[in-house]
Order: sequence, then structure tokens, then C-alpha cells
Amino acid sequence: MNRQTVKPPKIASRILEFIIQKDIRYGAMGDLEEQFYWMWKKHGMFKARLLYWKQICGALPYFIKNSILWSFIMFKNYIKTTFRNTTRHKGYSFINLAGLAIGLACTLLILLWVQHELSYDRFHEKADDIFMVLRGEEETIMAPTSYHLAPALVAELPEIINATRFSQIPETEKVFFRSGEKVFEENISFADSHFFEIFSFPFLKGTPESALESPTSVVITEKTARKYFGDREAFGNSIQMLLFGAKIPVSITGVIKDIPSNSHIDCDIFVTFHTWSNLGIDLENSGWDNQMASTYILTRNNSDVEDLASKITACEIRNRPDEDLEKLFYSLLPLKNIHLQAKNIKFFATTGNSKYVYIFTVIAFIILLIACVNYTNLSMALSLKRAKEIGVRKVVGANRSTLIKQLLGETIILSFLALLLAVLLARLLIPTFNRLSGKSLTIHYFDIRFLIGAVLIAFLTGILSGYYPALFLSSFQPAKILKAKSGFALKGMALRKGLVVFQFSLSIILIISTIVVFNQLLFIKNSDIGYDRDHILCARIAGDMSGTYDVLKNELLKNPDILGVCRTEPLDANIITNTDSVKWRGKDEDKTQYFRVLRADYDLVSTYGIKIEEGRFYSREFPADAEGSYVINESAAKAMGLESPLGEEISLWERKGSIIGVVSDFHFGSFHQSIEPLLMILPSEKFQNIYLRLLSVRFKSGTLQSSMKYVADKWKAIIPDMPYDYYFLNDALNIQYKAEQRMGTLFRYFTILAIFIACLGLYGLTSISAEQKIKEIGIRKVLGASASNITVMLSKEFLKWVVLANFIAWPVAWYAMNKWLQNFAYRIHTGWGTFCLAGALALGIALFTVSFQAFRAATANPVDSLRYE
Amino acid sequence: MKLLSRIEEIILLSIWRLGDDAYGMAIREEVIKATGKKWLLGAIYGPLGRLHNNGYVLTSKGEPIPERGGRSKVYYRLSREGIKALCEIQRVNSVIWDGIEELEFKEE
Repeated sequence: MNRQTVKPPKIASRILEFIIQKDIRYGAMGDLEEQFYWMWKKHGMFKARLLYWKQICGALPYFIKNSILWSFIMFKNYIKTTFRNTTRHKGYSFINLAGLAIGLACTLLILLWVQHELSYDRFHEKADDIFMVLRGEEETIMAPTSYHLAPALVAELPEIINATRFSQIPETEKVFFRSGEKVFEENISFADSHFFEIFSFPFLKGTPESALESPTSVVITEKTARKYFGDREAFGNSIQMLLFGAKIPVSITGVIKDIPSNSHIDCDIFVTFHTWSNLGIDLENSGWDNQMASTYILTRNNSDVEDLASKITACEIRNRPDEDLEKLFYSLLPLKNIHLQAKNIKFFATTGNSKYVYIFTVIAFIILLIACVNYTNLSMALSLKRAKEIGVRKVVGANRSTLIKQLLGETIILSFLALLLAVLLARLLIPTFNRLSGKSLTIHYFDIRFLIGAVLIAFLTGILSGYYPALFLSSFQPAKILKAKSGFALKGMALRKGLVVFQFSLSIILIISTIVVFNQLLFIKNSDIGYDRDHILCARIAGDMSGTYDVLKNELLKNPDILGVCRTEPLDANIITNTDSVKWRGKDEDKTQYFRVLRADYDLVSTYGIKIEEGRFYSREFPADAEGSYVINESAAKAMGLESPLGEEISLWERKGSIIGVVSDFHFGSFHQSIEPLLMILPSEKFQNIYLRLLSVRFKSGTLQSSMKYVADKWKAIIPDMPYDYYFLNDALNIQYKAEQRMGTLFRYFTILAIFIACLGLYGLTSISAEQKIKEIGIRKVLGASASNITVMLSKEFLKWVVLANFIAWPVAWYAMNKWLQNFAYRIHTGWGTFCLAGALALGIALFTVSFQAFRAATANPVDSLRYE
Repeated sequence: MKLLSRIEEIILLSIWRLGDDAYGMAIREEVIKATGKKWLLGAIYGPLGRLHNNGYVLTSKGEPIPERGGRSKVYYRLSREGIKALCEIQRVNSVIWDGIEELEFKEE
């Protein structure tokens, strides 16, 4: 074997080279190789190698101990310097940490929300194989399908293991339940007996398979059970349901755990479809064209969704051979996607929107990025003060990579500190956040995903915000730093100024938006809607009132504080009938004109205080009114194009009658829509019970408490059987603007946040600038400039950018807010005042921030800044 | 002064004894001879590095040698500090051993 090939194993010598201390490495490596050579000569290759490896094993423990010891010592030093630097500049550190913490808290909250949005319906065991069947016809896709579809699918298509029908009553149409003395309103859903076989809602009592088998069975949630029965056993008990005036006894055959908040199916009580038969509706024998229930299917694993959808279409066509169903097509929506992707499906309400999820994720990261950049800005300003430390470190032997490690480590430590603060902050903010988002989110601190996510984000934040200052600081040349007191030029000012402009533009846009939303809401609140909305109390009538209404009304009117009592259809724009089958003289047959139809009794106009423009309202003195008279509103008169509408014959659903009066326009819907043409009908005696399900009582202003009590007492005395559920008309009207109010609050919070962040950025910039100009300021002062001169000089430079931000923000805000106001048929005009106010506000805040720092620089003693010259 | 550890003392003496020929391998041989125990090179280099860091020994390089993978031998010699430390140890040793002549260990 020749000389060249007698070499110790390559990997081993690499390891050795790495672990041997630098100062003895050369000699030791040589000795080891020599030893290897002699060993090979004496004992052969194997032994030589063995010995060589043994050397490594012998050296490793020492190396590990040593490196840990040293990194620990340095780490201690780093922590110490971090602590010292933080406490030395308390103001800076606080602002820096607070900015980072707020940014992190926002990001955490938003990501929490995003995670919740994405987690919908994933808790069902078979979630992957459950689909919602969507019925499409031409352009529209809707959720309700035929009642007969589900059984037909299971029978005819082998891919489908199980199918269920389900229909949820809208939240506005709650249903009363009674058990003994206890009466509550509940959200109910209709479901068939397969429902709980497909969806895994855990049962506390009863079994999923048999729970909804019998026609009069119901399944209730744990929470609901507790409400009615307290600690008593709910299972097997009976309870009374008051559905559209009918009293139906039902028995509880299952109690399930409360439905988690991330379920798109959310209700308190599940009842069977047979319940409808109590109202005389026989679903089993209804036609296929009765689209009234959503259909969910459970498919076999890996079924071809497209193919299956077309098979479903074929299935319906097979079952309805006599009809023209050419435009019919079905599609399948996976259960997991329902919450976020069911946005444009008719007759299906979802609060989710995948667009918002994307937007908010992006916003979360923008906030984090801005917080990071601000941090960078501020620590750059601070770094000038630390230059000496770095210089000394370099002189005593720190190399660049060690310094970068130290500085980055420092930022990471701080960002973890900020994370702790952020979690605390998030905890404080979560109730507000939940109110805004309409969710009930909680932070699971020990959830492994949350921990990993939070730590990752903090780490990322640390790296992102500390990277540039670390590079910058570590590049200093010690000789230069230690010689001069200051005089570094900072690069990248333009970028940072740009950022401040961007932040302020954002703030100004938000300020304008907040003002506009506030003004619009104020406008809605204060404008005349055609009747006295402040003093009307409404109560829903859930039952038969044919004999008792007049008694109650007379009793109520005995109280002088009560000005009027009437019965109408529920005054809800979503419920009031909308029809195009009104005919009048001179109607253009090609044009469809929609009319709202409101059924009301004689006292509507007097109770609500609606103005009559022409003619009269219904009166008991004219018995013919109930047979065929109409009262219309001004918009209807305009829509019909009638010069003198009084006495004109019109017909609705073949019900002929003449117009006896015109009332002025009034709002029963929201300001989003303009007032629609309206016909009012007085239903005949026998229909009054069905239609007139809302009792309205108008009381004298200032007698709210006493009137409320009076109505409640009389109600209980006269109709004790009927649950008394009242609300104030004003509240009901305001609910229509819930989204806008929510948006207003959201804007307010975001504005505060944006301003704070923008101010941080500005503060950082001013600090850098003041630090850099410290000598200039000193010389100016020596030459006689006053503190105010210098404050103005420093402030001017930055206010320029805020003014620029105004010019960027105004058009954007104007466009966005006009777009938003388009949602309202009745809206305010945004004048120059709003824009100027927002601009002035932003300028004022900026001025405050800048002058704070500028003033400090201006009042400093010039001796301090010029001493080292 | 700081008292050296025993192995440091042995290594210093070995270097003294080896004179111009004191490099890692030779020092190890010398230490093995003195103690009768197998010493790994690493076990020598630990104290040797410490002695070097504390300024008791100085180093110099020789010619590159093929057996060493083309590296030079690194020779060690005592610095003034090292010599002083050894003198001190000798003094201490002679003081603490003074008068102990009858000490004997009998094999059983």
C-alpha cells in the first residue's frame, strides 16, 4: 500500500477538525495522523482506524461541555446587554415592545378567527364523504330540493350510502316550546330519521339511529334540556310545541351535546318532518315540485363527484317523467366547504365567505409586517446609540457573525417578550373581538398547534425586524465608531419615508370611513321614517286570538298612556309578500311591476301615526272594506301612474277592489332599499288569525316602563296560554343595520390601531433624523436659534409627508365610501368637511408625535452634542 | 502562584526532558513511560492546550512530514513561566516530602 493511501477515514478527520480547539488543532491533527500511520504499520488498517475513532469519542464530551459552557456564558452576557439596553431607553423600548405586541396580538386574533373559519364542519366523523346536494336551474343554484329526492337517491344510486333531508327555520321565525310553566323561543330544524346517522352529533341520551323515528319525537341539545328541565331528566319527557298557532305535543327521544360553534347546522331543537301534518300539510303525498328541504348525502369513499351529480339529475328526471326538466342540473358541495363557499346559494344562509378569509389572512400579515418595519425603524434609531458597544465588542474580538447572532438573538428575545404581551392583550381583547365578529372564540393556550404557531410567528417577527439592524450595526468599523461621537449616514430613508406616507394614508382613509359610517348611521337614526317609531311596542301573536283580541285591545285602551293598538302582519321586509300580479287600468303588460302586500287591521294608521295623503283608511263604518278595498302608498300610486288614484279599480290575485286611500310613504324595511310600492289589505274576519301575527301598541312618550308593565299584566290576565314575547320597534329596525354598526365599530378599532402604528413609524423616523442632525442642532443653537425654531425645522420635514398622505388618501376614501353608500337608497352626501376634518386630525396627531421628539432634541444642551468635536 | 495539576506537571517535565524533540506524540510516549498507563492523545492535548493558553509552553513548527498528512510537527518548549512553575513545584514537593523516608508500600 503506498503512502498516499494510508489516510485516516475522511469523515472522522472532518469531525475531528471541527471539534478540536482552534489553537491546538494543527499540531493535534498532525499527531493523530502520525499516530494513525504508525498504528497502521504495526497493527494494520483496522486497528488504526479503530484507534482514530476512539480519539473522537474521547474528545467529544469535552468539546460539548466546552461549547455549551461558552455559549451559556455568552448567552448570559447577551441577556444582560439586552436587559440593560432595554432599561436604559425605557421610552423607546416601551413603544417598540408595545408596537410589536399590538401587531402580534392583531395577527394572533385574526389567525384565530381564520383557523375557526377553516375548521367548520370538520368534526363530523364522515365529513369527507358528506355532500350537500344543490339544485341548479339556469343561473340560480339553490339549497332546497324535493322532499322525495333523498329516499329516491338511496334506493336508486349504489354510490350513495345514506341520505337525509334537513331544513332549518330562519332565525327570525323562532318557535315557542312549553314545558309546565316554562316557555322559551327556540331555533328549530326539521330533520328525518337518517340525519343523525350521517352527522356525528354525540348523543348523551338516546341513539342516533332511532332518535327521530317516531313522528312526534324531537332531539334537543344539552343546553336546551337544562333550560326546560333543570337537573331533571329530559329524555323521554314530553314538551309542547307552538307552531304557527297549533299546539303539538312532542316527546324527547334524544339529548345531544351542545352543537359546536364551528358547525353550519346550528339549532336548539330538531323535529321531524311529520310535524307539518299537524298543520294540514302532508309532505309524503306532496309533489316532487315541492322544494322544501336540503338534501345531504353520504357517499362511498372516492366517488366521482361530477359523475354522481349528473346521476342525481338523471334520477330526478326519471322520477318526474311528465315534466320538462331540461334546465335542471345538480351539483354537490362537500360538507367542509359549505360554510365558506355557499355564499351565492339561494335560500341558504351562511356567515362565511372564503374571500374574507383570504383578505383577513393578508391583513394579518400586513399588520405584522408594518409592526416589524416600525420595529426596524425604531431600533435603527436606537442603534446609533449602541454603536460604541458594538465597537468595543469588535475590538475585543467579536467577529461579524457573532455580532449578528447577538443582535438577532436580542430581537428574538424581545419578540418573544412581545408575544407574551400579545397573548395577554389578545385575552383582554377577545370579548370585544367576539362581539365584533359574532363568534365565540377562545384561545386554547396549551393547544399544540397554537403554541407552535405562536412561537413560529414570534420567531419570524424577530428575524424579520432584527435582520436589517443586525446587518447594519455589525458592519460598523470599530475605529470609526470609537473615534467620532456620531456622523453615520443611514441609507434607505426614502423607503422608510414612503412607509410612513403609506401608514398615514391608511390612517386617514380609516378616519374618513369612520366618520362617514358614523354620519350615515346617525342619519338613519334621526330621519323621519313616516311613523312614530320610538314609542311602539310589538308582541308576536303565537296562537289563536280570534275571541280574545278585542277584549285585550279594549283593556289596553283603557289606560290613557296607551294611544293605539293594532294588529298587522309581521312588519319585516323579508316576510312581507312581494308580488307582480297586481292589475290596474292602463298597466303596461310588458313591464313587471312588483308590489308589497301588507295585511293590517283598521287601526294601523292611527296607531303608527302614518300620514294619509288622500282619501281614508279602513273603517269599521264601511263593511265593504274587508271584501275588496285597497289602501296604497304614494310610491304605489306613482308606480301605477294614476293621476287620481282614489276610486280606481285594481285587482290582486283575482281579488277586485277599489282604492280608497293613499298614505304617505313609510319605511318598514331598511334604508338600503328605497320604499317599494305597497298595497294594504284588510283581511276578512276568518283570515285575521292567520295573517295578523303582530300586535303593536303605541304608548305616550315617557311612559315606557309603566306601559310595558301594563301590557304584560293585561296579556297575562286575558291570554295566559300565549307566551308574551315583546320587542320595541326601534330595536327591530336597528337590527337591520347590525352589519353597518359592526363595521363602524370595526373601523373605529382599526383606525386607532392604524394611527398608533403610523405614529410609531413617524416617531422612529423623527428620532433617527434628530439623532443624525444632533450636531447641526447644536451649532444652530450656539448661533442663536431658539428651541421653537428648531422644533419647527424638524417638524416641517415630516409634516410634509403627512400632507402628501392626505392627498393620496382622499381620492381612495372618497371612492370607497361612495361605493359603500351606494348600498343605501337613502344616504348622506360626503362633503369636503369630512375630508378636511380627517386630514386635520391626522395632521394634529402627527404634529404631536413629531414635535414631542423634535422638542426634546431642540431643548438639549448644545454642549453635549458638540463636546467631542 | 497557581499550583499545576499532576498531569500538567508530568507533561511539563516530559517537555523539559525531551528538549528539542518535544512534540505531541513524543510527549505522550514520555507520559506513558512515566505513569505506566495508556494515555490517548486527546487526554494529553487537553492539559497541553491549557498550559499553552496559560503561557507555560511555547510552540514552534518544524518541517512538513508526509506521515502527518503533509503537516509540520508542532514542537513545545518551556517558557520562562513554565520553568518558574516547575521550580516552584520542585520546591513544594521537596518541602512536603521532607522527612518522609520510611514510607513503604508492601505487596501482599
